[in-house]
Amino acid sequence: MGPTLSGNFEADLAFFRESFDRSSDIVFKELLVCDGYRGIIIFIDGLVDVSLVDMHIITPLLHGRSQLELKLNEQVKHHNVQAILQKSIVSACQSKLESEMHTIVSAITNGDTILILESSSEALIFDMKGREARAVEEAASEPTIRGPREGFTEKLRTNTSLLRTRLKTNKLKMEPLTIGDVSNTDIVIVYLDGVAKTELIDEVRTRLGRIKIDAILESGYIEELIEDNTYSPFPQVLSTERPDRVAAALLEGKVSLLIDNTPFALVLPITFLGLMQSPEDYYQRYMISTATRWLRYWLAFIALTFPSLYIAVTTFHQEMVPTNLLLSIASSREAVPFPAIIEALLMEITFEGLREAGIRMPRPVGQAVSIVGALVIGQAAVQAGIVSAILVIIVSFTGIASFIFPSYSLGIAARLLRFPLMFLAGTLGLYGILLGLLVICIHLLRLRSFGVPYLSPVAPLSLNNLKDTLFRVPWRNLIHRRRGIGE
Amino acid sequence: MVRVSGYQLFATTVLFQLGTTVIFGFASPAGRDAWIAMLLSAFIGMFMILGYIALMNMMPGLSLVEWFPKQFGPWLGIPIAWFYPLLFIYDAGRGISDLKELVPLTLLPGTPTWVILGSMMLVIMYFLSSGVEVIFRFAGLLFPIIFFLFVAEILLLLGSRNVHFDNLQPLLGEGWGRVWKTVWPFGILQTFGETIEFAMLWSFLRKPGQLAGINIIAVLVTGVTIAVFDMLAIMVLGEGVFQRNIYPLLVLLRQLSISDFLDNLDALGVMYFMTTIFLKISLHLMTAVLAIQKLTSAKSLRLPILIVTVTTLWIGSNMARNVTDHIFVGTRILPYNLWIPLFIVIPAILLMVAWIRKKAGTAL
Repeated sequence: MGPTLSGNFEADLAFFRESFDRSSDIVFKELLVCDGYRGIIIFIDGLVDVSLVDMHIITPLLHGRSQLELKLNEQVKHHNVQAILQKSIVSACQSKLESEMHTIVSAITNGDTILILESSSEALIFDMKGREARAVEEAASEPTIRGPREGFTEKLRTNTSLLRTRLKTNKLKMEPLTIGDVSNTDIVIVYLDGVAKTELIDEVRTRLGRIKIDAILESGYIEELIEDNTYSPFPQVLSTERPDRVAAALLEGKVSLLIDNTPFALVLPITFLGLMQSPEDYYQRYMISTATRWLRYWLAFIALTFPSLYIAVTTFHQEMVPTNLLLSIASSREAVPFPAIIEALLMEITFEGLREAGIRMPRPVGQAVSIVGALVIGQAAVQAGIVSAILVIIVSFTGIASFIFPSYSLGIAARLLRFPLMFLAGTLGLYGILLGLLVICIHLLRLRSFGVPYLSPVAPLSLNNLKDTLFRVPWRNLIHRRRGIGE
Repeated sequence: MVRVSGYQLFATTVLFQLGTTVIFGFASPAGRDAWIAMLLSAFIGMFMILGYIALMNMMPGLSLVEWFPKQFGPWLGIPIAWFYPLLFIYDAGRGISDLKELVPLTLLPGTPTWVILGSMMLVIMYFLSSGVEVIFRFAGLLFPIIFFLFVAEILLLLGSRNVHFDNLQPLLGEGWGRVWKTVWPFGILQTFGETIEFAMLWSFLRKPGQLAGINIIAVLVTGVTIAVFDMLAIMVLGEGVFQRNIYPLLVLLRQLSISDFLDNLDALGVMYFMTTIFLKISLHLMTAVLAIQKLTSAKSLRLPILIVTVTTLWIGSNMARNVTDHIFVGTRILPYNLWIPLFIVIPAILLMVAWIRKKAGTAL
């Protein structure tokens, strides 16, 4: 317990003035409530909707004087001004009494409005937050053709409301939490009571409770601090901007974390194949969705291995290629001075560089990068004899394949692992690729996301759950959805 | 606590038994009757495995190396038990030696063998350190893929117009003599006797009641798979090539051609052979590591894994001068000197002792 309000109005006021000195956005508004009662309203401008404060605190206090006096007179000696203010004068939905200095200060920084009256040792805290916020827009990182257009925003309250409108039940629980010594970021643990396992929720609470950090600026901080295995390129927690995706996950018994100031919500636990699914799989017809999923699986494999297969085959196993194709590869490589591994690395790094440049550059100069990229990669490099035309096709196909990952963070993992595989292919050929794939496979088998094996339901096998991973069976057969994943 | 599902144990057992056997053309000395020899070995092998399971049921919850001290007492039992991990390490060394011959011949002619074997051993070390559960899951993941490839291969071969059913005839033309010679001892011991290693792992099974059933199905699946490949190899290649070639199934794969576009699929074939060899070596070593852990009551598996992998690498790279030498030892010396005593004689004595003890009701 820290120091509390002394009841000495001047001293308390001095304390707050000192706490918030050198802050231009803090507002101290003194008023005379009624005879003998001085009061002060404290809030941070910009976090509070000033018109609400005007209308619901200041106006009733100043103009509802007679009413207040009337009520005060009714009370005997130990009257409680705050309670009367709270209950019958100030028309704010959320208000509470607080006496501890520390809590009051953090309420102010949190965007609450404080009212302190003379000779009282408790402050009234009103919630009249009115921060400027972005409107609900389409989720930029996860577009779909069919499906809701709404995406999460930076404002926590908006995000919880987006979930509430999807799951209208009192079973939807939202436990609040604050993490970060300096940032005091609000976090909400969302789950469906009775659907999510209690052990899972407890585990989430424990892991969040262990976090010791000064600030949480994005959900990526939390993701890294609570995941099972830090030494892995694979995401073990799903981050998504789509409320419909979170709602679907909650229905499956997963837990979601909403974090203030970021539109990316976390969902856990997650499996590899879960990351390969798009919410649209459930909105399109099941046959099409199943076919799309298989397309994704194949392209994911290609995104991981295609350049290394090219290197291995052209360097070590030419006999595997049909003669005609081999001839055309050989003739296109004729002028190329580099071995296949150098050639492929050169192009892959250029491609990854272009992609990164495309994200980071300021929008107005976007044209320049794409022109340079198309000319350098598409034309000039081949004509100059630095790389072969075949390789350009392979790199572009790999590039397209690497865009099909529905989860961006899984796509990055595949892009990264492509490079060690290329080195292995360049030194040990197909044998090297095999060893590389074995290591990746073993690593995936070792991984767990909050206790759930990463490759479930394939390994360990659960035939019932394959209905919604390798295939997407019709909804009629999916009604008993996989509640306890990883069983 | 590690718990393994019935499917995982089944998949692991089948892939373990297939192991290198598929590559080397099982029972090729029996010529065109190799497939009969295979089925016969599977049948007899099944009873041998049922014998091991009977031992397991008499001492529930105990693993292979704990059987002997329990029945024979520590002074006799522990030294006998030590033979098994040593044998498993040696068997793993033979797997490495197989790779040493196979990889340069098929994939990487110019690469030094120590690079090939060393890199494989590193992967195995990583695999072992992941624990038993991951190995079982790996097998469960691999099984459908391997069998999908098997079916694809069989269908493509049947469609290739290279299959001559006459090559199988005359059935048993040279009598049972050469069939029996391949069945005993090599056929039974190589593929099915080695399954005694699983006695280290059976106690992980979630529902112990399924053990016998799983093993019977697994042996049948293995037996039929290898028999089918033997038949195909004989039908496509003829008895002569089948008998003379070291890797008949690789030659078989070379006959495949998908509409004249994908030729020479043997490199891909080698890839999945290597995957099964990899799994088999890992299982040899995992059981050895578990046995050593039980015998020395070591707390961490790290040191045993390191010792075992390094030893195996050394044995594997130095055990044979060439592939003929390697196969000669494998078929003529190893079965008689190590496998018969350790897979048949000692377990048989153990079974008798345990049975008598049980009758007399005086188990130690």
